[in-house]
Amino acid sequence: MGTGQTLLVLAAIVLFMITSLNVNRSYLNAVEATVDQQEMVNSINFGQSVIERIYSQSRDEVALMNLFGDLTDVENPDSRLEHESETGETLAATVEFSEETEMKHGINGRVVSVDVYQLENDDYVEMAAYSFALISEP
Amino acid sequence: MNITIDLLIPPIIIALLIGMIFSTNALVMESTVENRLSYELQSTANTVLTVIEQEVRGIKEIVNLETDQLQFIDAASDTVTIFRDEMSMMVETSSAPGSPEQYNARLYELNFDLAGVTGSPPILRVSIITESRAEQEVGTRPNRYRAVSERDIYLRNLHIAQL
Repeated sequence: MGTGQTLLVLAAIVLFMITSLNVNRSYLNAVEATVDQQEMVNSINFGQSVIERIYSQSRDEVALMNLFGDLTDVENPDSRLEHESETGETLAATVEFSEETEMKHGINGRVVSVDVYQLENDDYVEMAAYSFALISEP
Repeated sequence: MNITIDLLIPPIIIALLIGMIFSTNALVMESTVENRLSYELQSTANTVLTVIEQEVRGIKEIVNLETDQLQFIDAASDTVTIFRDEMSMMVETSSAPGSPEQYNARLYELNFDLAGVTGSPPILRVSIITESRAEQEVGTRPNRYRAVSERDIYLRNLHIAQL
Protein backbone atom coordinates (compact mmCIF):
# COMPACT_ATOMS: atom_id res chain seq x y z
CA MET A 1 0.00 0.00 0.00
CA GLY A 2 1.51 3.31 -1.05
CA THR A 3 1.79 6.45 1.04
CA GLY A 4 -1.06 8.09 -0.85
CA GLN A 5 -3.42 5.20 -0.18
CA THR A 6 -2.49 5.10 3.50
CA LEU A 7 -3.21 8.81 3.85
CA LEU A 8 -6.54 8.41 2.12
CA VAL A 9 -7.51 5.58 4.47
CA LEU A 10 -6.39 7.61 7.47
CA ALA A 11 -8.50 10.53 6.26
CA ALA A 12 -11.49 8.18 5.89
CA ILE A 13 -11.03 6.91 9.44
CA VAL A 14 -10.77 10.46 10.78
CA LEU A 15 -13.98 11.36 8.94
CA PHE A 16 -15.78 8.37 10.42
CA MET A 17 -14.46 9.21 13.87
CA ILE A 18 -15.85 12.73 13.56
CA THR A 19 -19.19 11.29 12.42
CA SER A 20 -19.14 8.85 15.30
CA LEU A 21 -18.39 11.63 17.80
CA ASN A 22 -21.25 13.70 16.40
CA VAL A 23 -23.63 10.77 16.73
CA ASN A 24 -22.51 10.28 20.33
CA ARG A 25 -23.03 13.98 20.99
CA SER A 26 -26.54 13.76 19.54
CA TYR A 27 -27.24 10.78 21.78
CA LEU A 28 -26.07 12.67 24.86
CA ASN A 29 -28.17 15.70 23.85
CA ALA A 30 -31.20 13.42 23.51
CA VAL A 31 -30.60 11.94 26.98
CA GLU A 32 -30.19 15.44 28.41
CA ALA A 33 -33.45 16.52 26.77
CA THR A 34 -35.22 13.51 28.32
CA VAL A 35 -33.89 14.36 31.80
CA ASP A 36 -34.80 18.04 31.30
CA GLN A 37 -38.31 16.99 30.28
CA GLN A 38 -38.74 14.93 33.46
CA GLU A 39 -37.44 17.82 35.59
CA MET A 40 -39.81 20.24 33.88
CA VAL A 41 -42.78 17.92 34.46
CA ASN A 42 -41.77 17.61 38.14
CA SER A 43 -41.61 21.40 38.47
CA ILE A 44 -44.95 21.95 36.74
CA ASN A 45 -46.65 19.31 38.90
CA PHE A 46 -45.10 20.75 42.08
CA GLY A 47 -46.36 24.22 41.12
CA GLN A 48 -49.86 22.83 40.57
CA SER A 49 -49.67 21.00 43.91
CA VAL A 50 -48.82 24.29 45.63
CA ILE A 51 -51.79 25.94 43.91
CA GLU A 52 -54.05 23.10 45.10
CA ARG A 53 -52.78 23.65 48.65
CA ILE A 54 -53.43 27.38 48.41
CA TYR A 55 -56.97 26.73 47.12
CA SER A 56 -57.53 24.29 49.97
CA GLN A 57 -56.88 27.08 52.50
CA SER A 58 -58.76 29.79 50.61
CA ARG A 59 -61.74 29.61 53.01
CA ASP A 60 -59.55 30.57 55.95
CA GLU A 61 -57.65 33.81 55.39
CA VAL A 62 -55.68 33.54 58.64
CA ALA A 63 -54.53 29.97 57.98
CA LEU A 64 -53.76 30.88 54.36
CA MET A 65 -51.49 33.74 55.39
CA ASN A 66 -49.90 31.71 58.19
CA LEU A 67 -49.01 28.91 55.80
CA PHE A 68 -48.14 30.80 52.64
CA GLY A 69 -47.88 34.51 53.52
CA ASP A 70 -44.15 34.52 54.28
CA LEU A 71 -42.90 32.29 51.47
CA THR A 72 -41.33 35.06 49.43
CA ASP A 73 -37.57 34.42 49.38
CA VAL A 74 -36.17 31.31 47.74
CA GLU A 75 -32.70 31.91 49.22
CA ASN A 76 -34.04 31.74 52.77
CA PRO A 77 -34.90 28.20 54.00
CA ASP A 78 -37.66 29.61 56.25
CA SER A 79 -39.25 31.52 53.37
CA ARG A 80 -39.68 28.84 50.77
CA LEU A 81 -41.70 25.67 50.36
CA GLU A 82 -39.40 22.71 49.74
CA HIS A 83 -40.16 19.39 48.14
CA GLU A 84 -38.09 16.44 47.02
CA SER A 85 -39.41 14.86 43.84
CA GLU A 86 -39.68 11.12 43.20
CA THR A 87 -36.66 11.38 40.92
CA GLY A 88 -34.56 13.05 43.64
CA GLU A 89 -34.52 16.73 42.62
CA THR A 90 -34.89 19.36 45.32
CA LEU A 91 -37.63 21.78 44.36
CA ALA A 92 -38.67 24.98 46.09
CA ALA A 93 -41.58 27.35 45.65
CA THR A 94 -42.27 30.93 46.65
CA VAL A 95 -45.72 32.51 46.87
CA GLU A 96 -46.65 36.16 46.64
CA PHE A 97 -50.09 37.65 47.27
CA SER A 98 -51.18 41.02 45.92
CA GLU A 99 -53.29 43.37 48.02
CA GLU A 100 -56.97 42.50 47.99
CA THR A 101 -58.58 44.37 45.12
CA GLU A 102 -61.86 44.39 43.26
CA MET A 103 -61.70 41.85 40.46
CA LYS A 104 -64.27 41.55 37.66
CA HIS A 105 -68.01 41.78 38.35
CA GLY A 106 -67.46 43.47 41.71
CA ILE A 107 -65.88 40.41 43.34
CA ASN A 108 -62.91 40.97 45.62
CA GLY A 109 -59.79 38.83 45.47
CA ARG A 110 -56.02 38.64 45.25
CA VAL A 111 -53.63 37.81 42.47
CA VAL A 112 -51.33 35.02 43.61
CA SER A 113 -47.94 34.35 42.01
CA VAL A 114 -46.23 31.01 42.48
CA ASP A 115 -42.64 30.53 41.33
CA VAL A 116 -41.03 27.11 41.23
CA TYR A 117 -37.25 26.64 41.45
CA GLN A 118 -34.93 23.68 41.22
CA LEU A 119 -31.69 23.32 43.16
CA GLU A 120 -28.78 23.00 40.73
CA ASN A 121 -25.18 23.23 41.97
CA ASP A 122 -26.26 25.06 45.16
CA ASP A 123 -28.25 27.61 43.15
CA TYR A 124 -31.99 27.81 42.73
CA VAL A 125 -32.92 28.00 39.06
CA GLU A 126 -36.43 29.13 38.14
CA MET A 127 -38.34 26.38 36.34
CA ALA A 128 -41.99 27.49 36.26
CA ALA A 129 -44.16 30.45 37.18
CA TYR A 130 -47.89 30.65 37.80
CA SER A 131 -50.25 33.54 38.36
CA PHE A 132 -53.88 33.12 39.28
CA ALA A 133 -56.77 34.90 40.98
CA LEU A 134 -57.91 33.83 44.41
CA ILE A 135 -61.45 35.01 45.05
CA SER A 136 -62.15 36.09 48.63
CA GLU A 137 -64.94 34.38 50.50
CA PRO A 138 -67.98 36.67 50.69
CA MET B 1 7.59 -8.49 5.57
CA ASN B 2 6.34 -5.56 3.53
CA ILE B 3 4.12 -7.84 1.53
CA THR B 4 2.53 -9.28 4.71
CA ILE B 5 1.71 -5.80 6.09
CA ASP B 6 0.29 -4.77 2.73
CA LEU B 7 -2.01 -7.77 2.86
CA LEU B 8 -3.04 -7.30 6.49
CA ILE B 9 -3.76 -3.57 6.70
CA PRO B 10 -6.66 -3.26 4.20
CA PRO B 11 -8.86 -5.94 5.85
CA ILE B 12 -8.16 -4.42 9.28
CA ILE B 13 -9.14 -0.98 8.05
CA ILE B 14 -12.28 -2.32 6.41
CA ALA B 15 -13.18 -4.19 9.61
CA LEU B 16 -12.68 -1.00 11.61
CA LEU B 17 -14.87 0.97 9.24
CA ILE B 18 -17.60 -1.67 9.25
CA GLY B 19 -17.47 -1.80 13.05
CA MET B 20 -17.82 1.97 13.28
CA ILE B 21 -20.72 2.03 10.83
CA PHE B 22 -22.59 -0.70 12.72
CA SER B 23 -22.01 0.82 16.16
CA THR B 24 -23.10 4.23 14.89
CA ASN B 25 -26.27 2.76 13.41
CA ALA B 26 -26.99 0.87 16.64
CA LEU B 27 -26.57 4.04 18.68
CA VAL B 28 -28.84 6.04 16.37
CA MET B 29 -31.51 3.33 16.58
CA GLU B 30 -31.22 3.12 20.38
CA SER B 31 -31.41 6.89 20.71
CA THR B 32 -34.48 7.11 18.48
CA VAL B 33 -36.30 4.38 20.39
CA GLU B 34 -35.27 5.87 23.75
CA ASN B 35 -36.60 9.32 22.77
CA ARG B 36 -39.90 7.90 21.59
CA LEU B 37 -40.28 5.67 24.64
CA SER B 38 -39.44 8.32 27.22
CA TYR B 39 -41.83 10.77 25.55
CA GLU B 40 -44.60 8.15 25.47
CA LEU B 41 -43.99 7.11 29.09
CA GLN B 42 -44.06 10.72 30.29
CA SER B 43 -47.19 11.50 28.29
CA THR B 44 -48.88 8.37 29.62
CA ALA B 45 -47.98 9.22 33.24
CA ASN B 46 -49.35 12.75 32.80
CA THR B 47 -52.51 11.49 31.10
CA VAL B 48 -53.17 8.93 33.85
CA LEU B 49 -52.72 11.68 36.42
CA THR B 50 -55.23 13.86 34.57
CA VAL B 51 -57.72 10.97 34.39
CA ILE B 52 -57.38 10.36 38.15
CA GLU B 53 -57.71 14.09 38.84
CA GLN B 54 -60.97 14.26 36.91
CA GLU B 55 -62.29 11.14 38.64
CA VAL B 56 -61.49 12.28 42.19
CA ARG B 57 -62.56 15.93 41.90
CA GLY B 58 -66.10 14.99 42.88
CA ILE B 59 -65.27 12.77 45.86
CA LYS B 60 -67.95 13.04 48.53
CA GLU B 61 -66.59 10.31 50.76
CA ILE B 62 -63.53 8.08 50.80
CA VAL B 63 -64.56 4.46 51.43
CA ASN B 64 -61.16 2.79 51.34
CA LEU B 65 -57.67 4.08 50.74
CA GLU B 66 -54.75 1.74 50.18
CA THR B 67 -51.38 2.33 48.59
CA ASP B 68 -52.45 1.31 45.08
CA GLN B 69 -56.23 1.38 45.46
CA LEU B 70 -58.74 4.14 46.11
CA GLN B 71 -62.45 3.55 46.64
CA PHE B 72 -64.76 6.53 47.02
CA ILE B 73 -68.30 7.80 46.57
CA ASP B 74 -68.50 10.39 43.80
CA ALA B 75 -70.82 13.35 43.22
CA ALA B 76 -73.42 11.07 41.54
CA SER B 77 -73.35 8.80 44.64
CA ASP B 78 -71.72 5.99 42.65
CA THR B 79 -69.02 3.98 44.36
CA VAL B 80 -65.86 4.25 42.25
CA THR B 81 -62.78 2.10 42.68
CA ILE B 82 -59.47 3.02 41.07
CA PHE B 83 -56.90 0.27 41.28
CA ARG B 84 -53.89 -1.21 39.56
CA ASP B 85 -54.03 -4.50 37.69
CA GLU B 86 -50.49 -5.42 36.64
CA MET B 87 -49.49 -2.60 34.25
CA SER B 88 -53.03 -1.28 33.73
CA MET B 89 -55.10 1.17 35.70
CA MET B 90 -58.70 0.07 36.26
CA VAL B 91 -61.66 2.29 37.12
CA GLU B 92 -64.76 0.42 38.27
CA THR B 93 -68.05 2.09 39.13
CA SER B 94 -70.99 0.63 41.02
CA SER B 95 -73.25 1.54 38.09
CA ALA B 96 -71.34 -0.95 35.89
CA PRO B 97 -70.09 -3.64 38.25
CA GLY B 98 -67.77 -6.27 36.83
CA SER B 99 -66.84 -4.27 33.75
CA PRO B 100 -64.18 -1.76 34.77
CA GLU B 101 -62.65 0.76 32.40
CA GLN B 102 -59.14 -0.39 31.58
CA TYR B 103 -56.38 2.13 30.88
CA ASN B 104 -53.25 0.68 29.30
CA ALA B 105 -51.08 2.87 31.50
CA ARG B 106 -47.85 0.81 31.59
CA LEU B 107 -47.84 1.24 35.36
CA TYR B 108 -44.84 0.37 37.43
CA GLU B 109 -46.22 2.09 40.51
CA LEU B 110 -49.51 3.76 41.45
CA ASN B 111 -49.60 5.41 44.86
CA PHE B 112 -52.40 7.17 46.70
CA ASP B 113 -51.79 8.97 49.94
CA LEU B 114 -53.98 11.34 51.92
CA ALA B 115 -51.66 14.20 52.81
CA GLY B 116 -52.20 16.59 55.70
CA VAL B 117 -53.24 16.06 59.29
CA THR B 118 -56.70 15.49 60.75
CA GLY B 119 -58.78 18.65 60.56
CA SER B 120 -56.82 20.19 57.69
CA PRO B 121 -58.27 20.26 54.17
CA PRO B 122 -58.08 16.85 52.47
CA ILE B 123 -55.29 16.66 49.89
CA LEU B 124 -54.84 13.50 47.86
CA ARG B 125 -51.25 12.87 46.79
CA VAL B 126 -51.10 10.77 43.63
CA SER B 127 -47.83 9.37 42.37
CA ILE B 128 -47.48 7.46 39.10
CA ILE B 129 -44.45 5.71 37.66
CA THR B 130 -44.71 4.25 34.17
CA GLU B 131 -42.25 1.71 32.81
CA SER B 132 -41.32 0.41 29.39
CA ARG B 133 -41.37 -3.29 28.47
CA ALA B 134 -38.37 -5.22 27.18
CA GLU B 135 -39.99 -5.87 23.79
CA GLN B 136 -40.38 -2.11 23.20
CA GLU B 137 -36.65 -1.54 23.44
CA VAL B 138 -33.59 -2.14 21.30
CA GLY B 139 -31.12 -4.79 22.44
CA THR B 140 -31.23 -6.98 25.52
CA ARG B 141 -30.25 -4.67 28.36
CA PRO B 142 -31.91 -5.48 31.70
CA ASN B 143 -32.81 -1.91 32.74
CA ARG B 144 -36.13 -0.40 31.74
CA TYR B 145 -37.09 3.24 31.05
CA ARG B 146 -39.38 4.96 33.55
CA ALA B 147 -41.23 8.25 33.88
CA VAL B 148 -42.72 9.86 36.96
CA SER B 149 -45.68 12.14 37.52
CA GLU B 150 -46.92 13.17 40.97
CA ARG B 151 -49.34 15.81 42.16
CA ASP B 152 -51.41 16.88 45.15
CA ILE B 153 -55.14 17.18 44.47
CA TYR B 154 -57.43 19.20 46.71
CA LEU B 155 -60.67 17.32 47.41
CA ARG B 156 -63.02 20.29 47.60
CA ASN B 157 -66.30 18.38 47.82
CA LEU B 158 -64.99 16.22 50.64
CA HIS B 159 -63.70 19.30 52.45
CA ILE B 160 -67.04 21.08 52.20
CA ALA B 161 -68.83 17.94 53.40
CA GLN B 162 -66.54 17.85 56.44
CA LEU B 163 -67.20 21.49 57.43
